Amino acid sequence: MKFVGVTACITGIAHTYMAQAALEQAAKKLGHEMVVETQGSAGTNPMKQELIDAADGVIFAVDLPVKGRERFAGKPYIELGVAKVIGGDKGVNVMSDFIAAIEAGTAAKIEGDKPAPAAAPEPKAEKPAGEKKKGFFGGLFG
Amino acid sequence: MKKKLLSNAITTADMVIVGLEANDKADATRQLAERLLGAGRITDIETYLVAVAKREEHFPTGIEGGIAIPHAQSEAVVTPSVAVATSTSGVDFGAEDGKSNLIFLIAAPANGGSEHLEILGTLAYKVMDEDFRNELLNEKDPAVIAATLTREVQK
Repeated sequence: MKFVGVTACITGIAHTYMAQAALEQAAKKLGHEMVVETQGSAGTNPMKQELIDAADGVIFAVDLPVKGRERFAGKPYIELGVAKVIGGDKGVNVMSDFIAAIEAGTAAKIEGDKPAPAAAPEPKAEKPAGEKKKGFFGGLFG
Repeated sequence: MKKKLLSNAITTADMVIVGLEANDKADATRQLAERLLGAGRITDIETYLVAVAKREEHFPTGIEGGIAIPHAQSEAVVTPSVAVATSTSGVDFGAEDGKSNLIFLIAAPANGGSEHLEILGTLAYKVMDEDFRNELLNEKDPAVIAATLTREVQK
């Protein structure tokens, strides 16, 4: 499956990025794809709308409201605190449960209708999210 | 007026404590913050420690796997930095599985540029890599720990 997600914590310094790593690791371990948009103090790198459109599910690991939430409208999703995916097997367990819910058709869907492409309010891009941090997809020390 | 001869590296050997012995997380954080102060990375240890403690109250930074990553953004921070400690006995940072043996104290300036904050974000990201953590935990030379960390997050 293909997943996209957003991570954000209060200070935007550490947990945002730890959660990103945790979700990417979980996806790798379970044999899925995961692209994370970090909404941290270093800024936000909005992911391409195509990635969102192609996703089977959305994971919001956030302590703050998701910026540009309407971009994900209609997608099955799970939303939880940023700490809930960091450490041990938490990320893997969250993703496994979410996959089960998607497969059972019981996963909640993000409210609203997806805006027309031109109306999609994407914050100013620095770099595509998928390229921001090289890491577990790019080799151990990517 | 202190001379501004600050290294660009987010950490240096004098900001690394190998074999930290601390009574609790406040003690551990203070010992690490003293290294930041000594290295000229923060100007006021009390202001910085209050910010760290306040963030720590929100939820503790101990994470399963023996890690703790206390951090704060503060006006007392001169340049983005991280002080690192390895501790055989460990320090309780509120992780669900017990004490933390690898502690990263992150200092972010109040008005840091995004590229600086990104370095700290990269560090937080790397900390989730178990092989990277083990490499740091097994190293006894502060200079090597500092070099490893800097290499991995600033390349």
